[in-house]
Amino acid sequence: MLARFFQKSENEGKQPEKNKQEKTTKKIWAVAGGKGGTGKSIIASSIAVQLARRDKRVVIIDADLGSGNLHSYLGVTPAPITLADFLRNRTARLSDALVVTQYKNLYLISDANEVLGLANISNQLKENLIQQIKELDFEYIILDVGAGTSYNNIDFFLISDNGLLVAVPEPTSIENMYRFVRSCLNRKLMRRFQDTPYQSLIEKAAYPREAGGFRTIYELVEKIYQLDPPAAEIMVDEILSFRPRLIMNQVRSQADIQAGDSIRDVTRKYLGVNLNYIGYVTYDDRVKLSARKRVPLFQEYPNSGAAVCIRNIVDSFLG
Amino acid sequence: MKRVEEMNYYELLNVAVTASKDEIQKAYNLACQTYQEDSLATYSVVSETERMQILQRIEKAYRILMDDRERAKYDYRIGLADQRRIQEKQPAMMVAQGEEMKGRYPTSSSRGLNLSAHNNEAEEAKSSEPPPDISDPHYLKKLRERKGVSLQEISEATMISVHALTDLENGEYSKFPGRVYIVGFLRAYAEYLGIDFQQAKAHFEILYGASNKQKK
Repeated sequence: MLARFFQKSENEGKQPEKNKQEKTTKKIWAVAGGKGGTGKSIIASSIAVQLARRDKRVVIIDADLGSGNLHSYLGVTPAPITLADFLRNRTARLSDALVVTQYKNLYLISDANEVLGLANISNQLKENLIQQIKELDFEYIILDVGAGTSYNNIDFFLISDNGLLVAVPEPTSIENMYRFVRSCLNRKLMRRFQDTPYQSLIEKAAYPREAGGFRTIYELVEKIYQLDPPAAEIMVDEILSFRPRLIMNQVRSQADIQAGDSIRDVTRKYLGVNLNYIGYVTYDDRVKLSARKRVPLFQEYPNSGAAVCIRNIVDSFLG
Repeated sequence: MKRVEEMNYYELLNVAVTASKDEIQKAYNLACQTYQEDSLATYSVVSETERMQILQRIEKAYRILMDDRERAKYDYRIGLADQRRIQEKQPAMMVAQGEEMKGRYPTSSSRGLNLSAHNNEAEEAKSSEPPPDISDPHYLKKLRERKGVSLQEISEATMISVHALTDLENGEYSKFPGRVYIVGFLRAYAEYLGIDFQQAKAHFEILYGASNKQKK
């Protein structure tokens, strides 16, 4: 019965052959955390530097609208044209905001922190931005996403299904990370089931404590299954295709490292999301020192514990 | 993709069905750490009740999987015996949950969530003894024993007392408050064992009819 609701979106998702090929070679990694201060910007910039050092063409975008400072971590002075100029229609192409860094393969699109209210951009503007991000001609596009569960952050994160989540071993960070995962999944389902009768049910799943709400994703799927089994199958596919990756940052002990395995287990069992724990970064004072000096960690302390951990993570990505 | 309470012991501990005792021990240690009191990982997601429930299941899973005999019986009951034999020929590996999860949710070909923990028809068919006849007074007991399931186990899963289950198997229907209870218990019993409820009900009707005639 519901197949007609999905037919349209399936066709819309089809791309010309050329675009399909581009999609397979271009990788977009969004780095988020749900909470500020988890070190996602330094990890995002360090990953970008590592990729560039391995002769990959990389662009890193400060998508922390309104409060980004990625340029400081890369030792780049504020650029003449930034994301703000694109968002304010002062330039039509996002690529105009590209600036070079000290690494020959690494480019930066810096933040829009100069303009009040840019954290709240319209949907249309955001869609245009996302489209232009996807069209950038780079092998790797790294997005440094802001803290919190705003639609902007979630939509940037969902550009890549396998986005990176950075958490620190503290309850508040873990709580916000779970909240972010739940919000992303809900947003993903809302989009997939847009204009179907199930949208309101999915919306309810976002508010588990309210009357008639669904406490878990399983309850939602079961409800949809009762109404329409094919729709439930589509929902399951959508849930399974969401596979974020976790990096535990600032770990100080074996227990902190293992917390990542535990979080992975809880996320799978209780949120229904297949979280992949890809590595950890040790707590290292030299991270702060390099940030204070406004130079990349890999330039100032290439053999520090944190730098070695990030290198290992990139190695695991690249196989 | 499954609810925690529907996961088998391997899924619960995140180990492959071919996992060695060493791997099970490590998985158990991690699971205990994950669901211990004040665990960072459970914060804001797992309630205290859920935490206690999963810990109980983890303990049970550990006890069964670390005991060769119990594990073999368990594998048989959940229909893993064949799968395990095949996988033992391959290197043990952690279960790739993404792919493994697919198909656990209801699909158009599988009706809803399977409540049966013992749906192993393939093993049944291989059994050298023919299945008991539904007119056999010990029909239910024989089916249960073929599957190697204890009454205690069914009782834990269905919340029906062992006494009531014994009476159900022995055809002591007069001990139940009414027919509706018997049929309800029979349904839960059949679902847990993974046997055909209609067949079990037909067996009940035969015995119930006979016992009513005797009364008259």
